Amino acid sequence: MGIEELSVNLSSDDPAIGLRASLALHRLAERVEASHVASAREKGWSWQQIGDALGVTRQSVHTKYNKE
Amino acid sequence: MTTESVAPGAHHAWAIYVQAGEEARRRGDRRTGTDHLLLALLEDPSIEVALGVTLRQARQAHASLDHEALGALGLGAGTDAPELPMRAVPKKPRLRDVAQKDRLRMTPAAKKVLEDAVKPNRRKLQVTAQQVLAQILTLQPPDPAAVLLGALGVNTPEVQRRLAAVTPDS
Repeated sequence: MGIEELSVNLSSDDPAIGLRASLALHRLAERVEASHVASAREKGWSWQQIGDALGVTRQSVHTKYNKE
Repeated sequence: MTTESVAPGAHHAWAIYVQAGEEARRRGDRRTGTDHLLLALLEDPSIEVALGVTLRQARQAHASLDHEALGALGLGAGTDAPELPMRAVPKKPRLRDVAQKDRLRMTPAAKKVLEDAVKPNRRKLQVTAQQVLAQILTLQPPDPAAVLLGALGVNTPEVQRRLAAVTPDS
């Protein structure tokens, strides 16, 4: 899908769908992040490296994900 | 003695809040919304019966709504990522369970649902799942819980009538 197509689709005129889609993207991004943080840890990445990749501090990724 | 202090279905209000927060976390949400409160209530089998919907069905419908919305953006059905693990919720949460640093705050609508549900009770930390459900049933789309109930095909006025029949004026 090209970026033009995405912006055409984004102009869908039903706000109920559009607003929900925006939240659904946030949720999806959060799940994508969590699953890749887990796989980075499995591959031996340090919290520092993951933080660098996400543009946040080591502490903040550690606090968020080091639960298990 | 007030009715709610002997009501068998009384929950600790914090337990519903914390459980709803875990439902939110599972989906990757940053706020605990009315939809998550509804899912939390469905942990109670009597609520599953009242709505004629299981927790599993409700979670599936919730995910389908997202897929549908993402589909409207042109993101296909393959666009997904695994859900996050939920943490165990104590039956009687203590302050430290509620005041966790990474807790997900409630949306204003979710906050109002819980506040209105406990309002008639003398003990503000005790609430029945039915009281919370009664508040959720008053919501209208685009509220997320109302949208979810709609997607599940729940006949809201009918459930409200049945709830009112078993709950002596609350």
